[in-house]
Amino acid sequence: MSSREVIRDDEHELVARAVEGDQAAFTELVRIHQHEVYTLAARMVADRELAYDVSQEAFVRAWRSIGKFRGDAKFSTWMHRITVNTAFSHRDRRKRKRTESLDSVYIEPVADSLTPERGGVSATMRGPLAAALDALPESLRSVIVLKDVYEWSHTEIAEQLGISVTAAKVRLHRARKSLRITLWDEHKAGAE
Amino acid sequence: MKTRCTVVRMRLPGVESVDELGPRLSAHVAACLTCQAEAARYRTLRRHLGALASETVEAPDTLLPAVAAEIRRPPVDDKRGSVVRRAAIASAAAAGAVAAAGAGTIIVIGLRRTRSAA
Repeated sequence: MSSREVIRDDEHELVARAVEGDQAAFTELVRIHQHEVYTLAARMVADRELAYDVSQEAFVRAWRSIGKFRGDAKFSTWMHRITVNTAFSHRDRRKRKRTESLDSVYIEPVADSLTPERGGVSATMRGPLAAALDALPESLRSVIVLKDVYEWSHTEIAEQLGISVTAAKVRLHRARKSLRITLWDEHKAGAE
Repeated sequence: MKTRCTVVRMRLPGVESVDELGPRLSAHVAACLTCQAEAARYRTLRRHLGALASETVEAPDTLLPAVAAEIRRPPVDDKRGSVVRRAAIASAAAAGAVAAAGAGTIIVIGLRRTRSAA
């Protein structure tokens, strides 16, 4: 049995205990998934402080509804959905003045497990890409992050954001076009 | 710029690969260096975005203890809370009404005494 399968079995056990109301088991799940959830929140809201609030609330929401978790999806997938939902419920709070750019959030990844086939974000590309994503309107950023980073389907995005599939496709189109213009027309250095 | 180049440029952001553009436009891209360069840019963009999925940002150290503290806290029963709140408001309103009625009575008695004395 591979170490990944062992981890998955352990997580299955933790989820089962958490569903029964075991706080320690749920806290362990939070420990395992906190960075992943925080990363998604940061990419959705482009604000570190708000990403913290979103992550905390997402875990609390998850704890309160863990009894409804049936295990037909992975715990991480379920947490992603809750995090995206929570990020959108914080929409109004996002209007406050941003104090910190997302640039630094993207520049310092701590767990980089990129496969050689897929390739990582080059050092010259990471900063401009992060800045370009950060500068996108929230409605476009959320769609491109969910589609091109997290590989959600258009249908999943549409359902989660409460928009039509066509609207999701239009937003993705606009977001990609905007990033392409920013990265290659406005910021020509190192984009290739 | 040629018409097909314009169409390719318009449609590229919405597709995952050049094949999705259809046979005529795909054939155009295969023969057009400008469109190939544009398609390559979108491919690079999608590749870099996809690579972000493997990068994790470290959550602040305070997140885990904050969540742990929050889930230890007993859930607030909103229904019960609102019933209690409503009862408290109703009691306060009733007390206010009694006090107002009492004050009114005192004023009326006071006025009668003043008149009878006059």
